[in-house]
Amino acid sequence: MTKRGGKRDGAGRPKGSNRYGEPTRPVRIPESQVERVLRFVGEREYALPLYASGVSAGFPSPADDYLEGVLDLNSHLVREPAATFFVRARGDSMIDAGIHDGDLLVVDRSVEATDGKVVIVSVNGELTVKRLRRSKGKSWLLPENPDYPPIALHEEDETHLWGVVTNVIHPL
Amino acid sequence: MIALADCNNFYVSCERVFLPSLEGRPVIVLSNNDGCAVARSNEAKAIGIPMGAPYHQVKRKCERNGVAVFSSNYELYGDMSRRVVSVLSHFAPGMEVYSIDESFLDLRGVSDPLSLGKRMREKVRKWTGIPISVGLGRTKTLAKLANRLAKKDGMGCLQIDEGNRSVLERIPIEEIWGVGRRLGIRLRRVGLGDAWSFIQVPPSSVRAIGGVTLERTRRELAGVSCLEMEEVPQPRRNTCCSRSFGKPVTSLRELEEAVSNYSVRATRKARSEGSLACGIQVFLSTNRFREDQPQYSNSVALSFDEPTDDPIRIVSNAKTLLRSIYRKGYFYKKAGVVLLGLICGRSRQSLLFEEHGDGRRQAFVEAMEEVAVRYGETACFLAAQGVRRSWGMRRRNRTPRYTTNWSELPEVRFST
Repeated sequence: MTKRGGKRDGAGRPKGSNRYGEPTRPVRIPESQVERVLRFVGEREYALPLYASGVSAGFPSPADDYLEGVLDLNSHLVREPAATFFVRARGDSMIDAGIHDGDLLVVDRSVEATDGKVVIVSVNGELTVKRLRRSKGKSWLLPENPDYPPIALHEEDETHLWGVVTNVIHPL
Repeated sequence: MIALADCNNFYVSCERVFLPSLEGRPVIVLSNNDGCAVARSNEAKAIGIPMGAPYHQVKRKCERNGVAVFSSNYELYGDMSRRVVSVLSHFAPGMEVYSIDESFLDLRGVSDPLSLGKRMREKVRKWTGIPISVGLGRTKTLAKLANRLAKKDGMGCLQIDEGNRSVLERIPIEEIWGVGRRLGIRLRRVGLGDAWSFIQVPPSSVRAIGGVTLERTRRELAGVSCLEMEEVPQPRRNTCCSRSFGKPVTSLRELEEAVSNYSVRATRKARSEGSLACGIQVFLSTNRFREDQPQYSNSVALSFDEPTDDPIRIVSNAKTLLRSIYRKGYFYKKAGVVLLGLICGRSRQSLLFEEHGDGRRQAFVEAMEEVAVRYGETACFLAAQGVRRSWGMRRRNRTPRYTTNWSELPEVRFST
């Protein structure tokens, strides 16, 4: 430790002791946008409701009593846009997992591949859909179709896990 | 501390994400019109396929060694790049996207940059499938150098300090960012063959050899930051759209189609940035590598009366310019359009007698652009752009546009 100057260990407020309750970091914002960003952060924090109509003089709309929010399917199905890919399922049915031939699968690579998840995994250089079983330190890839045998997934094969299927879009 | 995150063999890595069977195999990606190798996997480098090699020169070698050859798929690379940048942006408060596959990150105040660099690599790899290398240094030039070494020795993440003699002594002068081959020769002539000896020389004598730019490089290498982070991209002054033709083009009609298309595309680029063009340049040229054929190239420009983003107007001007420089009897290889003096749409100054104050025309153009942007370029286009487009680019081995086109999504099988 130096006597003067430099960083002192344990100085400053402890991490996460702010009003957001989690670590924060500085971000550059164009000056003209500072207020909007602060407002946005505040809204997230306190979940300020949005109302249907703007403030106006005159008769209040009875709908103002109800919260308005546009339902966005993207934000519902895609949690991490940077890590989410769409793939098309092809071949024998995996109906027990709720997937049919031609269905659109939403695949999130940021999700941890844990026991029971339906995953995309490359087997012999080809992308396939399997169910992942993890137990007692071992991993298996189970096809939902009993005609095919389960495949052991060794530790060095973990990189072959491509992503986790989070949603199936099935047209009727 | 500054970090340079650079995607390894980026185009090849993009292809491998969707074709895992390419893992461990030699792979190359060719430039527009399948001309030269612009990206090579490590295996392809090991076979001895040089960067930028014309494909016809290495074709035999590729076939003998089972090299997988792809046309470039810029839709895919652009989208994957966007994803990588988005993941990286969570790691640092300041970031400069330097190119499609490289970003500088400002890590000032980070206590353990090396471990942050490792986390960056892991997260980008997991989320996007793209392997990256991270170089760390006190300046951009050091970060760039560190990145190069990180790639070379396969470490993936590496830091270089300006005082690290044993490392800097082993770096050939040409490998320093901003030096290159030509300056390297001149520096070697005065006995400066490696990075360490280079920073022992006072900056002023470096200036005598390579000017201010080289002096800046020398200071950067010694840990004094001279290159600032450019976080906000400068608005473009010009925007260019040009392509080489898939086959030689001779007729004016085909050239007109091509130039009309480039004009529309350049206009769209400008519009997406909210810019208006003050002028336009059109150029064309024959294939200068075909020494057996007569050569001709020319360009011409004009200024608009008032800045515009009206594609119809820009196209008709482009065609007029093209006709003025077109000569019969040549095999044209390339043509292009440059929109000049782009200005911000809001700072538009109108003419005293405004020609296009016509609101209906404005609305029509808006609608046309909206349709083309939403439903694709083939949904709505000017007749001048042509229907057959026989001059189009050759991209014979392009993979599907997996991430940007609903009809080209990757397919997964249930069982193997």
